Amino acid sequence: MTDMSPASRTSLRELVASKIKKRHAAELRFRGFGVTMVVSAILACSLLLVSILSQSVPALTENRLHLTLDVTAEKADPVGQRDPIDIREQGNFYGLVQDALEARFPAAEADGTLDDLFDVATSLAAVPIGKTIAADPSVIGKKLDVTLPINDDLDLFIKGAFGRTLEIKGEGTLVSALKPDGDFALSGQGPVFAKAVEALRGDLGRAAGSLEQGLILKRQRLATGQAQVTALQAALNAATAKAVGVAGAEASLEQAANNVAGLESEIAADLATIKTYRAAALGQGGPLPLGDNKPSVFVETKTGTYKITTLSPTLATAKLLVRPKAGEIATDWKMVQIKTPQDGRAVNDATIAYGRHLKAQNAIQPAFNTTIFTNSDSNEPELSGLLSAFVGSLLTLAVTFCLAVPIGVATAVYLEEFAPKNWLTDFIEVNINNLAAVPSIVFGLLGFAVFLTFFNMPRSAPIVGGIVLALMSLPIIIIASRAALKAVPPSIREAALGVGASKMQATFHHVLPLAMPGIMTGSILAMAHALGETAPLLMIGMVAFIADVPTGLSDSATVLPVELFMWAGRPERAWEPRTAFAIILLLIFMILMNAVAIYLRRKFERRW
Amino acid sequence: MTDHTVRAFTEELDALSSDIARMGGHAERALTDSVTAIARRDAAIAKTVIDGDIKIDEMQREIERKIMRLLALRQPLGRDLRQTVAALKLAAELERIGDLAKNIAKRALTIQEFDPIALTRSVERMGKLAAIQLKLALDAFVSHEIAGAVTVWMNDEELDEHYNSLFRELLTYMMEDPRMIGPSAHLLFVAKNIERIGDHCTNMAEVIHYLETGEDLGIDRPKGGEVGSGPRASQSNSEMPK
Amino acid sequence: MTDKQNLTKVSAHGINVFYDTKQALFDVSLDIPDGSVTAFIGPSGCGKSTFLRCINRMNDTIEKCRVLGRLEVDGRDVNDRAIDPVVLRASVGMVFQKPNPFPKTIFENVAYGPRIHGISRDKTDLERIVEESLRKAGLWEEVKDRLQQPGTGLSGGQQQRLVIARAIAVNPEIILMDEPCSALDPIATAKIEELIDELRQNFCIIIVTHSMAQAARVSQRTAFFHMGRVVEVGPTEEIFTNPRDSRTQDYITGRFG
Repeated sequence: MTDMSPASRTSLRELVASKIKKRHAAELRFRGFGVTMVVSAILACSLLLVSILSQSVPALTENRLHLTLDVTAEKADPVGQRDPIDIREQGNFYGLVQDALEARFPAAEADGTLDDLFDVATSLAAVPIGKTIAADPSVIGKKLDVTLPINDDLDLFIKGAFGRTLEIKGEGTLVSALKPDGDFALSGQGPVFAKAVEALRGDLGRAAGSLEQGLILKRQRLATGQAQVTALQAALNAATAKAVGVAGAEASLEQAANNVAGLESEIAADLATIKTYRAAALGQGGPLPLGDNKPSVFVETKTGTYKITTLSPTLATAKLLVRPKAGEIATDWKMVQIKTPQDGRAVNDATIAYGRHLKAQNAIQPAFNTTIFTNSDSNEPELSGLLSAFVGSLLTLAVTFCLAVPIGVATAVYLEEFAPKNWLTDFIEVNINNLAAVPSIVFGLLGFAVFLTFFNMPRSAPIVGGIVLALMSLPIIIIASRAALKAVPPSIREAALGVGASKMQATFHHVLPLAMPGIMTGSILAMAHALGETAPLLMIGMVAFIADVPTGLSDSATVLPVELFMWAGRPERAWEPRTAFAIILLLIFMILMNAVAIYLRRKFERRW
Repeated sequence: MTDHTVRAFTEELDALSSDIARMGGHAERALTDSVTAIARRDAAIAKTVIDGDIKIDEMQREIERKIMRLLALRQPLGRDLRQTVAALKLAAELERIGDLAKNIAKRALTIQEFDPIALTRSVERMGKLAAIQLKLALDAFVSHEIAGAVTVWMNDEELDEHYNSLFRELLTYMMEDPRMIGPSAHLLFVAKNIERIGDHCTNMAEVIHYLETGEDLGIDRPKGGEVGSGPRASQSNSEMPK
Repeated sequence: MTDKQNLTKVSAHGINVFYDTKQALFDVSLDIPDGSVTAFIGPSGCGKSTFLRCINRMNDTIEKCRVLGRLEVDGRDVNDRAIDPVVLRASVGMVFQKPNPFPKTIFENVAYGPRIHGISRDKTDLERIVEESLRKAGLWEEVKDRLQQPGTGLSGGQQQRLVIARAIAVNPEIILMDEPCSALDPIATAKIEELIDELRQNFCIIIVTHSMAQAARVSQRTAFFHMGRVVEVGPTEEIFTNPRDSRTQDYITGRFG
């Protein structure tokens, strides 16, 4: 050891130096991997968050309709006793809203667009008005200012969910003339529609281009189909010769032939369309036709709206959507193009036209979406809220907390501090650890079998949900609490026992308070876990349409994640941002709980 | 006995023992040389003894330094502690023996100016006896054999007897011939010095005995009678080593 | 003091201790006098701490630990079923290797023992006991202005003295110290040693230590443990200058192994 010659030391140094590069490189690689993993995890997380956040943006605000109702007695209180229950049950409040809308657009009835006008708000939206009137019947016979959520599709349109709405300011005065067929001929001074025609032609050219692209593919498919037909024909011939499997071969041939025929007709139709598009794009073939399968183009004056059916630079034929005021001189008009064709959306042109006028009159105004906090579930997205699910979650969690934490902590304390270490406690410990890994749906099945079937407890009730979730979180709480108790240094126990404390005193005066932050952290995390749990609750019927806020532990209720699950499955587009919004609420709730856990840990963590 | 876990400690203790042995060698030669100088009336030998004492003093200081260091750094316990303390005491005893030998050598220089006295032979015999005592004590220290130490302790009585008889004879000489008072007095001091050396050897024997056994040799050491009284029967030691 | 010193406080007869199947102590018989400091020395794993923990039955807390034999404190067998370990521990205080104050205030640390045993009559009485204990532990002057601050905020030496104050607050007869200074610096160690020397007047103190110098400094009697047996017991100066047994000799002179 000591007789290492200088020479051998140098060679050792060289040996080490020769390897050191490799070692550094290995370390660098390892760090690189780590950083890559962390960065990609952060990226994935933020991507998820950004996507949810951006999806939920439309749900942050809602457009509300502000109306002044003329509360007539015959509609608000047909019974006439001013009895709140009668009012709420018999009153036609949507009728009041309809009256108010009709008052704003008196020509709607004559023009046959009344239904479109009424579509601005759904009848359910008027229910709270009934409550207001029932609470204060003295407003009957007076004016009442109300706001109500508008139709969810109109709401989405106003928020721009159906693509950008182009507006082109019109020049000069618009002249409209009623044509014999009921449509209107619109014209101005000179080629007032030239710009719009230009834009539409460009669109048509692009549409023709994309159709041509599609044609190439279709032709290829046609070629393959024809080859198949030939092959099948040969097969049929062979089958006929052998007289085996003729029917099957015939069926195949027929199918293939149909395919080919379909494709051929499609190609022919496309070719025709392309031809007309091209012709129209080049300004040939007269005015441009604009059907319901094409972007809607409105001509909007101050008080009226027309929908254009054919368009040329100087003249447009149009249908009337909203009748302008009689004698209006349309100096201030614009063309409005809505990218999504009427066929592609749930709200029709007339309702949009009414909506735009109401918005222009400030009768529709955006506001922060409070409905989602104050309302319960509804079939109408604009009326739906999370209140009942939130309350259901709170009630369920309260039950879970009250059951799981005391039992879990008591179990942990007993197992860790008092229980003798033998095969039985080992067995119990192993099983608790295993329970933590049992899929949550199994707890749901257990809850269904035991609490609903055997004990006949109410379905969909927070008490049952709470018990099931408590069963599910117990193992987690026990494991976390035991870890926290284990982390308390034995010197504290010895110190307490050394001054003559009994085991119980040592545990409850010293060990448990020291383990409390850890126990609380574990419990809160288990609660957060329970808050986000869906599967076991599905099994005990907590997946239900709950329109009323639950008031007790045995009321029917649902919880946030289940509500979210239900919303995500509903077809209307307006549910999408609301679901995203609900996800964010749930996340905020969980982050809050985790923050409380971290705060508790920081605050009460002691060093010893 | 096994080595210390800290090997340097064993080495230092061993070095201390060999230092004591070497110092003992020097003291032993100083003693024999000084007695020779008396017997042969040899001034040259006497001078080497006188010069050599400086070396012995130096060695004692060196050993004391080492012991201080050992106590401070190693904090010896048990036998190590006894050995260290014994070394300290032995060094002091040997230094005293060296001083006494020097004193004898100085007197040898003075005595040779007078006529020879017949009694120098008696002194020489006494000196040899003391030298044997010293050798025995040093051997006991080196070999860890306490038998030697016990022998030294027991034999001191003989030296005392010698001194007593010499004392009486020298008194007679001085009474007979006043001119002999000078050399006789010197010779008497030489004899007294030798007797003191014997006592130091006894002390060494006691130290070595305590070092080896951890027990004192006891207080009932057989002693030669007071000057002028007869010898007493020596008593056997009740605390014989195991 | 002198008359107290001669009384035997703890007396062990043939103590055997087993951890599961492993025997940790073999036939240990030992008398420990009152009013003095007795030190247990010996190499690691020699059983000195195990024996110490027999005296206040701290070994009860270790599972699979069996103690056989008769161990008397004031003539009564502590392993008797009739003796409650909690009662025993109230009269046999213990100080551990690492200072282990409760993570509570200084006051609460000292007051805990009297409180659970119901020693104090009222609040002022409790305050008096706390002050007295802290004074006895030589800590009062240092902490009297910050009794409500956490005990864990004190320095290591102060913590250990706080622990001693906590132990003497219940006025025990015996104080067991398991390597009380092994985690402390020399100054703090010296303070604890001085404290031990003062406490000797009123308590029977038994100290386990790895430092032979410490055993030599603070104790009047020393017992050397080796391989689960008591090899040699005697006055401290004897053990350190002239041990009888060669194993003791080898151990104290650093020749072990």
